[in-house]
Amino acid sequence: MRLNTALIDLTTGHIDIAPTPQRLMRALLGGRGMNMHYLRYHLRAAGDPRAVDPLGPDNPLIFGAGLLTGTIAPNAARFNVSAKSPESLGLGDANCGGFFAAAMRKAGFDRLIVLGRAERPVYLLLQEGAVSLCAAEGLWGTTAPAAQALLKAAHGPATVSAVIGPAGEHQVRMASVMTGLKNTAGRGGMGAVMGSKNLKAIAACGGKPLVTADPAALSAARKEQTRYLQQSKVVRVLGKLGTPFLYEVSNHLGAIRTRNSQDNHFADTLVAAEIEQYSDKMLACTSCVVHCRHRNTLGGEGPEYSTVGLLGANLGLAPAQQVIALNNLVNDLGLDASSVGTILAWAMELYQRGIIDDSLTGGPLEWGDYERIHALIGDIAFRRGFGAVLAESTQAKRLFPPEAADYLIAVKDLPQSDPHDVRYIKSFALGIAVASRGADHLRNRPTLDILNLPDEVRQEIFGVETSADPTAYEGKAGMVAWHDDIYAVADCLGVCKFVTHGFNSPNLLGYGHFAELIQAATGMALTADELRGVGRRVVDLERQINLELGRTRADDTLPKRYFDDPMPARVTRGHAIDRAKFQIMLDEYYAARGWTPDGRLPAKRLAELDELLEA
Amino acid sequence: MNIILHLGEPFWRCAGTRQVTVWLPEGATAAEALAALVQLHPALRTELDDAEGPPALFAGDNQVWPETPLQDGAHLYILWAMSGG
Ligand code: SF4
Repeated sequence: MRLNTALIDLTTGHIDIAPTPQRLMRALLGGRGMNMHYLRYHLRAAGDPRAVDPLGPDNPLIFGAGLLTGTIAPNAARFNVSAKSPESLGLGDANCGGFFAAAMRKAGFDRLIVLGRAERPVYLLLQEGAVSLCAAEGLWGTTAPAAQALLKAAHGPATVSAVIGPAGEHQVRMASVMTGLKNTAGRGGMGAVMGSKNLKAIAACGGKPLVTADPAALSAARKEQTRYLQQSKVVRVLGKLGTPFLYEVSNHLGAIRTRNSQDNHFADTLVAAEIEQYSDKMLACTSCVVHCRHRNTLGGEGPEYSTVGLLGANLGLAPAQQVIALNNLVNDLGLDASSVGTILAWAMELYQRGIIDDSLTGGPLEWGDYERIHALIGDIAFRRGFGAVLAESTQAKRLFPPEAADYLIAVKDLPQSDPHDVRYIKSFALGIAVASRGADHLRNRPTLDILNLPDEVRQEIFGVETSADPTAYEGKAGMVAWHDDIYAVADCLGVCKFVTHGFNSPNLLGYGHFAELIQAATGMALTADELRGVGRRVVDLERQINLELGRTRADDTLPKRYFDDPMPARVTRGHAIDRAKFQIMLDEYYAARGWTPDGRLPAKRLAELDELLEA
Repeated sequence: MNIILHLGEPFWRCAGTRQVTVWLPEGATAAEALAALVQLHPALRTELDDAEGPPALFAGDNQVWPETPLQDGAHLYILWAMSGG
């Protein structure tokens, strides 16, 4: 099951198509891992990676499907979009579900590497193993759903596309790539990179089911693994309530980011039962056995817990209906809800403190002012008025007074992705500090840390001694490193985190399950240890990319507030991150990863990665 | 003494209510309050005994453990300790 990789130069219109290199498949599988290889290769080919303008033609934009994506493997729906991030100016990588990646593979492609910049708006059409460059004049200016509908009308109802909305066209630094009504490659401004290349969409149509090495074995593995997954409570609850069920416990704990983390709990109006009032169906991605996505009665899909928290509590907005309307708005415009919620809350606190005023904002910026928030989101997408400032996302700190940066909830200049305030659970804090793309929970969150699992169970899972106390600093580094690796493997395979071992449950799919699926789908035999080795390689590769982009140990840190301001209320009251203990955790983490004390790869490891570049 | 139990997601769905009051002897523990709850709503037994981690218990703003004695009139919150989404 080896498909093609297409190298598309939008400046010249030249397209090269070649089989995906077998050697890279074994080393990095696909999806995120292989994207990282090509990202490193092309950033270096452009000269000094630090000098590459993320919104310039030299920035490679890579769409890579997971190795299992498009097969019947459970929840194998996902792809990664990678580039140098215009939002963080570091490694950019966004992961997305839906149906596009399976369609891309069925049209013959594992991966598309887009270079250059088209003179006029274009889209790529993938069909029967070929790539065509088509004029996008009629599409430019449309919302994400409208663009997809037009592509379906042009190429048939089976056409599935990944598109940008107005935010991507206007190169908003937190613009996403969208497929379907809600599936979002949201992190790091990949939509802005797409817009900078004048690339409105990639549409895939036609194609045939993927040919797998052993269809009977794959079918048996799916059946068996589905049965296993359906015994998991978290799978059952996600299928009924979606991720908004997480709001209640975070809020009770006092761990929900509220008003830019000045507060840590908010209204009960945003619990799952309230969101459920606006849901008429649960939807799924390709081959999913969970069905976690709400179809909402306001004309969109979602919201997820992240959106509920960040467009709700974090903006001081309590009515569920308004939060859902904002969710639909950001999706239509092609914006990352996590970044938008974080950046708007930042601006609101700056206004509250008088650090910025009406002369910049063009009017009051008050918590919970739905009309103003709604209008501002539109202004961000079209870069109008104060929206043009916020469209710079974290880079807007260059436009604000210097003290503004103290109130920004971001790491490595990426706004924190999820609404969980990490000051209480120290492993979460370490996780977002070291995550390769910036403040993000989907790189390594040790969600098991709060399950109060017995010592022997944790020992068996993590293979190292860990503490059961979520507020302890000791024994967390190995836990985070363990999650780094398995989540990286899931991203390489295109498998959703909601069925990945360690994400909210110890009873989901682990390396052994993945090895079985890989062998049946591709014929490649990999042991569980070899698979973890792939995870380690991907994390190391990402570290090296970040180092080549100028990142250092000093970037593995947390927002100032998380160190300096104790959490104000509820169970978590009084908790903050101790700077000295954090540095010890970081030392332990680097040691667990086999890195030097300043966070660099040892020479031997670097030589191995360099050798891959020659593949 | 009476204990007011607050059921979070997804537990309340088994009980059909978010709030249950149980009467227990003085000095009863959180575990005894849970046992009384299960007697009233047997469908909750499997949910609360789930292998994917026991529920997190809070008396007001304080985390408590099964062996923690409760005060008369305590509000015991029974929540599922989940965090990743
Ligand atoms: S669990 Fe949700 S996000 Fe994951 S594949 Fe299924 S529908 Fe998509």
